[in-house]
Amino acid sequence: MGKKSVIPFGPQHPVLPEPIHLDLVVEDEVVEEAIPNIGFIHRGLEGLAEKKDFNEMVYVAERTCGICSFGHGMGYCEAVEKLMNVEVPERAKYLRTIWMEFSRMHSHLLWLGLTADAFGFESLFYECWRIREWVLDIMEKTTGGRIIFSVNQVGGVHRDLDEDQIRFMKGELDRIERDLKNCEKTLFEDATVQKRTRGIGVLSKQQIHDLGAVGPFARASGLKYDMRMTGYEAYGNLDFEPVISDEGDCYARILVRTKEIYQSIRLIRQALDQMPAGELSVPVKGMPKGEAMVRVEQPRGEAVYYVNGENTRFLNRFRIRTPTFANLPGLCQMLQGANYADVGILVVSIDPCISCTER
Amino acid sequence: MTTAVRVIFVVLYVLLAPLIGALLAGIDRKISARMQRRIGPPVLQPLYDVIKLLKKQVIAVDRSQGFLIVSYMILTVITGCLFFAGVDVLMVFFILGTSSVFLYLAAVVTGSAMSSMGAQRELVQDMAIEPALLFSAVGFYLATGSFEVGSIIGGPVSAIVKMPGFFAAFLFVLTIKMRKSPFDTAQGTHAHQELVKGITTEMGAKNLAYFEITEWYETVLMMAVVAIYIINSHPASIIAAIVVILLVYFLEILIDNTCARLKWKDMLVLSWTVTLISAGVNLILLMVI
Amino acid sequence: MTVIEPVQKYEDIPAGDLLVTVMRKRQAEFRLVQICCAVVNNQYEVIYSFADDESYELTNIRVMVGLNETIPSICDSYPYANYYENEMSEMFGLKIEMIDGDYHGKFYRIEATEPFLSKKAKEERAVEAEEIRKAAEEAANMPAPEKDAPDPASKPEIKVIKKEGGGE
Repeated sequence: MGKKSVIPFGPQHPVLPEPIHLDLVVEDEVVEEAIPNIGFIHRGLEGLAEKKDFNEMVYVAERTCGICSFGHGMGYCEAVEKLMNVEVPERAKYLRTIWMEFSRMHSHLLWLGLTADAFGFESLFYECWRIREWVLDIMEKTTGGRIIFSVNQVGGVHRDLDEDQIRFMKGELDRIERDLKNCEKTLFEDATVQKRTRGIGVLSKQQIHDLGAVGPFARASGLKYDMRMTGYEAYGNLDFEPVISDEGDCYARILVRTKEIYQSIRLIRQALDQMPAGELSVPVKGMPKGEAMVRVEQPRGEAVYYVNGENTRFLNRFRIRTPTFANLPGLCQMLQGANYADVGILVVSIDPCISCTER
Repeated sequence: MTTAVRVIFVVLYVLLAPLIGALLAGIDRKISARMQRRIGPPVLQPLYDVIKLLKKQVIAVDRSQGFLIVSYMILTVITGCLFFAGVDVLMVFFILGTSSVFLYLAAVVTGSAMSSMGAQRELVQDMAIEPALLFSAVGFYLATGSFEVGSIIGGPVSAIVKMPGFFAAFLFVLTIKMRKSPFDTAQGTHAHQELVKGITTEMGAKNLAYFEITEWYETVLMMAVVAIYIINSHPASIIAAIVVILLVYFLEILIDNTCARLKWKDMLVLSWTVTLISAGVNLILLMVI
Repeated sequence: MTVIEPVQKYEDIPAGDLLVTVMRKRQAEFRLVQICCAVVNNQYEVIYSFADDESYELTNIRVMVGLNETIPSICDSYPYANYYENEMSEMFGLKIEMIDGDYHGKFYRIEATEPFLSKKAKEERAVEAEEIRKAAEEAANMPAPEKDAPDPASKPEIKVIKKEGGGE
């Protein structure tokens, strides 16, 4: 004992949801340093912006990631709409908000299952994913797709919700809330879960700020920062506060994300009640010229969309800065001095979405 | 027990234990799946898996791994045979400890980081189990006056009446021995842990098949140890023993599905504490009374 | 719910002022949001975005860098900028010096080098590099200046005031 070894963690590893490569310098089951490498799922999607019509680019932007796909499509559309000064109709804004919140719910439920799996609690994993199936059923019924919705277009949305679908949604939301409350007791109070998550990977508020972390990862350490407070889409008309916690360990992150699921349910109910009638989209005339930067709250945090056009059909530059890219330094900081048994949980607790990070 | 009976038992063990073990493993997977609201694989799935593994081509990093695994298997089978032949239980537990060293070597010889760390955790697991097993043997001696299995089951009263504390400690470490949550740090049945598959990461094809088969032999052996707590000279106790075995097995599945995985330090501390308290108190009582 | 209206500002600065501007942002406790690189008119346009987490204000600092120029790394002020800078130098070929944790082109494990730099830009960069090299050669081959005129590059004379050693 006492020998340093470099353990290659990933990209193919059962505990990782997505392929990231970490070179862990380990001594006696304690990790001294973690060096990340990415690029295993790099498809060069940003380069495609120069080859695809800006209207068609929505479909490419959506396919950046399977879990946060609606957020990417919405962020791209918002950036191009800001560039071309297009005002989206109210009903479309509310519809986008509703689908975005469903996307957030399914992403957080997926993450809860993966975390349970990371600390060896398979039954909880299956319970969370069973609840997630109901969310995906709602998505399929209303948009036609379970993961990749393809309802966004520059200028609005394609599809509408009718009365039957809204009634179905409300019924399902009640069922989801009820079953999640049952799961909650195990998540929050089980002794073995507490032993695996309390006090693991603690980052203080100052450290989180210095590392530039975003999203629920940052909110679990007390940083009150949620891009939805800026009131884009229909969020300006809805009533909510960001969910924060002060402890900054893995347990706090589970708490924050579970509470955000309840928050999403409340937001969807508000939006469904407030949604006005109206058009779904406006026609878009002209070519994109100039530049625009838009920030959107994805399930994993703040995502930045930058578009730059030069009065042609093809954008000159389209950049996404995804939240996982900003949380990577936080991960490397947490891994220093961590026990090897905790590496799986720490990697999963930042909610890594590597296909977003690499585009 | 006459020699003929011993020989029959040994032959039955060698032939039937893998089948019974496979059946138990299959029932385990089916019940776990139903607890998780899934349908689950067919009950004979472990048998199908092992048959498939035996047909595969061996790609081992080091050829000595095959020899070490087969040694592990043969030693475990011999231990079981000794037990069913009615020989003394203390020797059985000691040889079981020796056989696990071969498993450790088989994992370490590949030089893979995951495998080596899993092997180290396996040694820690053994450290956690040994005290309870040895205490059980001592308890048998104090309760029934003999280490020999034949005498223990021939007694007028079930051994458990005088050694409930030892039984509790033994059940606790059974979870570790059978590699179930919360104590599956060295090798979980599911590959979703940080060490990939832990000690069996670098084992494939025939070697993995031998490992699985040895697991079955060991499960049957452990269940048999549970049985000798219950069996006495009355024939009805055999039925009681079978019922208790099934209940114990179900309890293990239940615990597996309701706990997360604990780290090895917690496992060591917990198992030694439970052993010392429950078995220790029982020991003092038996020596005093 | 109180809606916070975010303000966005764009500032254009020359490459020489980059470090000072970034240090000022660090003093004001701004968070580095992202660094974006684009190729515009055969020049690199690098945008550094900083955000204030209380007021949600976003400040974008734009720096135009030539295809063969080098800009310094901002890792001293923002240690986590090294991932963005590694990505930019790998994808676009932008030369950044003194990155803390430089992967030397191995951050993204991909086979292509500088995939986002178009062929036209690569050719333009090669042409510019050739011009710079020629200009440097000519400067080295220039004749020596005349002896009468004071050479402005030489050091000024140091006048030594001799002190009388007392009491020897």
